[in-house]
Amino acid sequence: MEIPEWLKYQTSGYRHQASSKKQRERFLDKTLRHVLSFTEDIMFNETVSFKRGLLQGIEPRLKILSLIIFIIILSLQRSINGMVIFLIISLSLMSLSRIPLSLFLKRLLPVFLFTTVIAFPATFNFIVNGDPLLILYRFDTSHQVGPIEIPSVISLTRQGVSSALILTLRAVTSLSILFLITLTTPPTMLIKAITYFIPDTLKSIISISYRYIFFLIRKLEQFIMGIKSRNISAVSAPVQQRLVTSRIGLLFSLSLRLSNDLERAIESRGYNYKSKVQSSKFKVSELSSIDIMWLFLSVIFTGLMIWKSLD
Amino acid sequence: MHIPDGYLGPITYGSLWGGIIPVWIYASKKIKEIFKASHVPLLALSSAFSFVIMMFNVPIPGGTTGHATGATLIAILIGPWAATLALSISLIIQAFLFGDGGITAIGANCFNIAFAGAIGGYGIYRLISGARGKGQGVKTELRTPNSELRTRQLIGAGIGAYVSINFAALFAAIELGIQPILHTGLDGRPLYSPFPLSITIPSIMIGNLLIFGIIEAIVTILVLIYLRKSHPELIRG
Repeated sequence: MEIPEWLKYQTSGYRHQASSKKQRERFLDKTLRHVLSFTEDIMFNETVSFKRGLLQGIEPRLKILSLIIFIIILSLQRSINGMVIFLIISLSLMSLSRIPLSLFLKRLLPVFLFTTVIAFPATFNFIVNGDPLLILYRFDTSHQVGPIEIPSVISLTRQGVSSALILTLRAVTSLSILFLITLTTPPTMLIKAITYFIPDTLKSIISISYRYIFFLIRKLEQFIMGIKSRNISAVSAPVQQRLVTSRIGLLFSLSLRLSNDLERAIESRGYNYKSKVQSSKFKVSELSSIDIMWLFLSVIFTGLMIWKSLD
Repeated sequence: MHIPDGYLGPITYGSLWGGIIPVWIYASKKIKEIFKASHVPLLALSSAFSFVIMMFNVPIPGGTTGHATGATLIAILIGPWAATLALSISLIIQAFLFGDGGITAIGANCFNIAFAGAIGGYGIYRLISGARGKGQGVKTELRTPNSELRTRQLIGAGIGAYVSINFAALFAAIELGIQPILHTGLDGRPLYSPFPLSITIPSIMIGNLLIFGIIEAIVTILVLIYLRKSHPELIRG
């Protein structure tokens, strides 16, 4: 088969356009890929949750409730020591649950970096005033920069550094406790356990919504890949904007159609959203010795940390 | 815009949990009155849709990105109270499964994005477009053959969306900015978000006023135009 003439030539204008649009296209692809892989990893990766570890062996509802209480008690802590205790507990539970440190750190790293960047300015005396730790610069006079008053002496303050540390530690430790829940509980079990504590109708909404999230993201990817596969060159920003928003519209129409289909399917099966088919009763008598030990230690730890937070 | 754990103190997040629970109860009652058939699949799929919208970034000039919340768009299409519930569920799933937004801050995030965003944006839309109805979205009005009215509705939707995301951002900025007033240690160190209102409001609002608000408005208008042209059957009369 002969190569068509138009494919043999390349105008300088086209080359310039292609290179300038390449980044934007790459970015769109990258976003889609990131969203898909991240969602897939969270929703379908069960390698850690099926390992034989401490948290994997605890009754999911008991584990989730106790770890959420840990997050709440952590939010009451007023000292760095209190937060370090929670971080040590979290890392110990990670180890006992056989969660790979690399996976744990990979999940925590973005939040650590984000919070560090956010918290860093608080170390300076123009954000949090206090006892100077380190004098960085001296101006002749103070200055006003927008809403911030820059004093004549720029320094790091003890209160500022402490405040930035507290914010970073609290945010990272809270998330580490949440990841203990998500990594050690299979996603479907997690949804069942979380929805155990809420009304039946809401339980159905969350369960259905969760099941369709990945489906809709995958559909959106297919819609956008469909457009891209039919375009030989890069499209301009306004066209791209229109294409993306039209796909969002299409996704909404698909969502509504699916909801109608689902409604009919549910009606035809006589399901009334109040059936207890998804949850078993939580019975204390059915708790294992590990569950009872966990419950006992959690209550003691919670009590101690509440007492510490009142100091 | 999603506030993580650790940024808000117990007084603030506790109050916002206290504020959002009655909203959820009221919204549940309203949608049971409005939707004759079961609302469960509609809310579930709308919630999944809003989840996807919030994860999907749109490129903007300068190489950066922004994401829409879809609060006004969903409020216009399925009604403000249904949108409040759908967005709340989406935010709860994000917090629990993806660690996006804190567990203690679920009340705050739902109050800002799902309640203030959806109800605020929809209210502005109604005010500008002159739409009528009892809160089951404005599907009837969007089908109007009157082009002047349709233009006003699209303008209303755009401004509503712009205001909606900025409402949500302003609430978040205020909640974060009052932390140094509410929670400080004995030596004066802030225990939660350390930045005062004079910093949180401009730093959060500038990005939303100049970039993300515009994205939200463009996405809302273009999606409505697309739905009216390509899927008029969804705009039920």
